[in-house]
Amino acid sequence: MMLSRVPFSKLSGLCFAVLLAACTSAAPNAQIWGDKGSLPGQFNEPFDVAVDQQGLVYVTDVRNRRVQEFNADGTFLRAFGRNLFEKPGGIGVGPDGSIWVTDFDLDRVFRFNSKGKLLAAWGKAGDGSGAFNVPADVAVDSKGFVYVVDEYHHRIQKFMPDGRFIRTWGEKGKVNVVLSAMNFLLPTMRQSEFYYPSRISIGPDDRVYVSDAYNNRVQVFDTKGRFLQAIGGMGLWGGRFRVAAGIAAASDGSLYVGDFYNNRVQHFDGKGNYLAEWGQTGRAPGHFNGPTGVAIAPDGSLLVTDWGNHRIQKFLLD
Amino acid sequence: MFVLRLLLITGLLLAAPVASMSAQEANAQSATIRVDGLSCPFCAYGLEKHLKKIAGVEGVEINMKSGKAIVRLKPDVRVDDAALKTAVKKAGFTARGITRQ
Repeated sequence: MMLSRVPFSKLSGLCFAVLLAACTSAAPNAQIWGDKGSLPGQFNEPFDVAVDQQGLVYVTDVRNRRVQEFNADGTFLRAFGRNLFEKPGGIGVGPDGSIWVTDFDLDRVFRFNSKGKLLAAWGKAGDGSGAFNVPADVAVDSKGFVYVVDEYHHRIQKFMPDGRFIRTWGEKGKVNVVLSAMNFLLPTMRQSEFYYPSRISIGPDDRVYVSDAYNNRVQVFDTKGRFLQAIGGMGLWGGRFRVAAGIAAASDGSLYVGDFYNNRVQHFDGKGNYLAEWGQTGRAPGHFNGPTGVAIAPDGSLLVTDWGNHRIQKFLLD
Repeated sequence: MFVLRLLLITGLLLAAPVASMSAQEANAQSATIRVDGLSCPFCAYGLEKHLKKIAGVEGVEINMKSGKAIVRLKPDVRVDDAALKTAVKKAGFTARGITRQ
């Protein structure tokens, strides 16, 4: 077929696909478990994942209103929280091994032990300090301080483990899509402003990483909420995002980020430089339908909640 | 007299669609809202939450692919379009149209 007869849209699509393929690294070996359903080991919209110091895996299973706990190899151990949750959203593990879960609809934060026994619950709906409007995620630093993504207030709140409020930072601020795509010219634009922050992770040096979902970037802060850096911006190529989602800081200071609409996981070094990526839309191993949660296991493997495929993918990294 | 009749007829004509809309709102078992910008569960779950807060809403189902929120309504409670639109706005979206079934 003559190239000149190929419609421009098809030609540009082909070029785009080739470009994307050239930019995408091969997926690491994946171990996969789960499918859609409500039985033990099945999921209905798995949304976030956390791994404790023993390598046990905890997944918020939104529509089944539960957290499921698995061995490192994906063997189902138990489910908990069914009589407590309305819509379990984010999940994190504290340095003492306790499991923290936020509930989107109840505006509450729950703390469990590793066997799923409820230890504490706090939080309420409202607009003041310490109150929430959609707590989307939770993370705990090395000293036990608890950070909650207060999504609809476009802010982060920091608490004592018993729920006593310490501080808040952030306000609503939307980065224009064009400016976001061009933000390498002005990377600190609208710093400390969020537009529907989605996920949070604490680095080994207690840096606080926040997925600023609809600003298509990650913002980095110290434990007092002082802005340090922004990573990414709107885009399809490596180092850019279309809705920044699941996030996990590794022990070497590098960062993994689930890129929801680009259906990939991206890897950055400790300075925020893009290193690698893998994934595309689909159901094959290493492909995604909305990677909403990311966590790193003690053995260095990476776990991803593949939200729309109702499964967990565990990647064995080098 | 003529002016009075004219006013009466005009008033009836204006009121008719409103009355019929109200009846439709009152009898509907569900409402489908077309929502702009629904793109991921982080916002879809938030929209669900805001709609579920309305008295008279029994349940909500979000279809992200079609950009629609299907709201199941309790039989004896009237939920007007304005309440639905306000909830959508509070969740950070714009309601582009509401159809009743």
